[in-house]
Amino acid sequence: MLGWEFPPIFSGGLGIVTYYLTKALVDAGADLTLLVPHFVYEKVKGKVSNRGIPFGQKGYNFTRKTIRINSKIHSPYLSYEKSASSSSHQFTRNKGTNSVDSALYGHNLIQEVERFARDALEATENETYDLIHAHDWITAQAALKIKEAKGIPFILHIHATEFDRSGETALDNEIYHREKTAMQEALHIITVSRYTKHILEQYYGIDGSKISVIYNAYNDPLPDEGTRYEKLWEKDNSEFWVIFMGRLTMQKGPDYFLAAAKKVIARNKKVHFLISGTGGMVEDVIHFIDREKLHKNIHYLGFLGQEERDALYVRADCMVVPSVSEPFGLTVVEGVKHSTPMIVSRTCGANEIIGHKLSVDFWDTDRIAEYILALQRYPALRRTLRKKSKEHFPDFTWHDQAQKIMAIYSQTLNIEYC
Amino acid sequence: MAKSICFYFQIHQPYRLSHQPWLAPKAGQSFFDGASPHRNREVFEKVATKSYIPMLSILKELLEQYPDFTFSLSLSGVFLEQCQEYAEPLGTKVLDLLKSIARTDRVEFLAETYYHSLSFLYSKLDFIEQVELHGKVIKGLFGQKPQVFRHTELLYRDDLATWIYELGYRGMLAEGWHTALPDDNPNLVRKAHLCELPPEDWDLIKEHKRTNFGKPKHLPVLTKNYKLSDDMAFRFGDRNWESYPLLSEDYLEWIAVSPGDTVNLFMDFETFGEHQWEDTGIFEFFKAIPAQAKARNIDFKTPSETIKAFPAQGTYHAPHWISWADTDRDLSAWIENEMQHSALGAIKETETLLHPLRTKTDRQSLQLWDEFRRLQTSDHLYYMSTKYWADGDVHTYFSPYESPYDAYINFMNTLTLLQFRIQEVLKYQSSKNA
Repeated sequence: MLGWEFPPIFSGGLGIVTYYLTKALVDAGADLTLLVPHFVYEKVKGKVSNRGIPFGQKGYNFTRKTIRINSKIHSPYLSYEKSASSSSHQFTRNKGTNSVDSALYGHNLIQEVERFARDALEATENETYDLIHAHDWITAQAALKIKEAKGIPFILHIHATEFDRSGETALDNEIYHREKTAMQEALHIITVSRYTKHILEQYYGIDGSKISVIYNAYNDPLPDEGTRYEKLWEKDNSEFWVIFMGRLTMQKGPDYFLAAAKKVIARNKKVHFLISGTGGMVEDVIHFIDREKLHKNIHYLGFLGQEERDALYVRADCMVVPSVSEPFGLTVVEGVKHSTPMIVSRTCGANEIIGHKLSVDFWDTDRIAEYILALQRYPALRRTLRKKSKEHFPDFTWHDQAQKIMAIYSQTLNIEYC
Repeated sequence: MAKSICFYFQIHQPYRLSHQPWLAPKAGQSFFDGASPHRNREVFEKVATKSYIPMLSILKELLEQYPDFTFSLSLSGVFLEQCQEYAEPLGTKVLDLLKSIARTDRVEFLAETYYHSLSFLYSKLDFIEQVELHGKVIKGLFGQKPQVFRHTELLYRDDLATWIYELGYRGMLAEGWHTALPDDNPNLVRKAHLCELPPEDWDLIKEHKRTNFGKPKHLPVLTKNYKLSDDMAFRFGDRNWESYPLLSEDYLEWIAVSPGDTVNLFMDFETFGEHQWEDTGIFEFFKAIPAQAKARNIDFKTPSETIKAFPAQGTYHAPHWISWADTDRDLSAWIENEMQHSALGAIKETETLLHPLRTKTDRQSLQLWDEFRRLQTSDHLYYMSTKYWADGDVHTYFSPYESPYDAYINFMNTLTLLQFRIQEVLKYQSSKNA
């Protein structure tokens, strides 16, 4: 398997997905080797060894090996952006965990992708595999090289496309073509939603019959709710908290979040907006808060660790996901899992498995503001949303999803060898 | 005695609410225009074209053609208001058809709450006032004083039946549901199980009792044969149904062999042309029913005639609410989740707020009461139901809203605005008096 993000260094959903997916696949009996770029080597050193971490449960003969390939760049989403921390700005609720780094793909990303492909090929030269499972275009070049060298099929797992990241007009042609080639070359494609499958069909001309939809699961054990969380985030009961969680990039729509926040605050000063995450738009967010003088109601928190995030989900009265285009949206599932009342953009794949939420068009900041005000005003609304979304939480686990992927593996291999 | 068929068709149109945003409340806009694409005028005209006009015309023809043919109707007050509000081009036509049907004196008009509400559940006073208002309007338009009562969504409980009995009605309709029937046969007239009422109810009853010569010994209950009713109302056009396509001779054969005195076929009027589209053949199917009935010596009776013709046997006993809705046959489509409870609470609160204006007859007070009562129409609560709101699924039930949450928000925004208006009027009136 070819990955790009992996704990402890990741900044988005792909890292989390890779972590759980590989674990579940090994549990399901896959003999799996994971190749990931070795970002920011200094930071990982000492925490994980470089090669062959045994991961499987006892009783299995198989283990997942992790091969980390040295990389020159510092984060999976690295960039020319400055760090998120800005001491001049007052972070009223900042817990001080600023992220490693931020923002969209960097200048030398294509070079890095090529280098990763070359090194991955080299690292696997003397090994035998049955098939390749690659995540997104960024690892596809490596997959194509290994496929060619070993004559084995490859499955492409799409978590995001260039259409999601940049939109139709700001599309990076180079990346688009790399994506398209990879999709055409892949024997089978897995997408994380019907929404993304549709994008592949419509914008990449891919035959839908070779695309399977496998949703991401969520089975993180929940710590005890209540006391511990309350300590993490002090909240005055008269306040109403609205949160944004995710990378601060155009794709995630933080600007729409801010526009809606401004409309709400003009009406109701009890509503507070908390933004967590890093990315290329950190400065825009901070400038907006400065310009509009909304420091009292909009708070930029920087990057939050898992526990702080979970605690914030529990404490929040509402979460807004105004993504312009979101293939899946792990934060949506996380929010629902923590019974946070959700306002979610219609262009988000997780909608396909989450029933009870308030749906919006990402650009409709009036509607977003209306919903926030309604949630604040009508406690029965948020309580019903909390209760119903919990009752209807999708019950599949990574284990279930791994079984489906194993079925795709064996189908693929049969087709190949019959 | 020959077996008979007792038809009852419900005609109701709610006043769907206009979109009521909080950020920019639209001053001067009516609360009750509905919102595109479900503007009330458009819905009314669509249903009038597809269902009211063609079906009422057919019923009128059948009355002329078959001297024995009859049926009963229950018309909500808010439907009748829409006939008048949207008079041109279709409202008057619908109303005229209804009037000409009434003039035959062979069709029975039933009693219900004017606003098609659930007021009995939260305000007996408002309930009885809404029923009386409805009676007055029916009498005024159709020259008939309703004698048989049916509650919104065919809701029934023993205490409601006791009220209806004490108020002086001659009968009541209910769902033929097994938990309330003594023997699972809906085709017999039953006696209501009358129960104790709290003392405060008696004051209201005494005040609003209808003048009747001689109180009957019991309250007869007619129960819906839901299987045969639903064959027509729900399954008729279903191509996957084993009996599809249903012919009227087969249907009348089923009625003929169904044991008992009366087969009570209760359904929404919109069954004809709206739930079952014209191309299913529903109109032709219905037209053939009187002749097919005659051939089998089955006649037609109104609810009042049915009650007179057949002895009541056994007791219909419903300690808990029974409705004609869903598979649960209970109240849960209207009152289940916390939003629905909260909306009901807000309605009660508004009634208390409005109370000082109850006996006022100035235009402003009357309008506030009318607006408040239009908000009590049960459909608003139904739109808030999360019962069939499956994961990531599109809403399959009929609602002008995208989600039950939108229904609740818009309802509460509207009710809150109404409360502001009430407070303003109260303030103005008290300053005038001071």
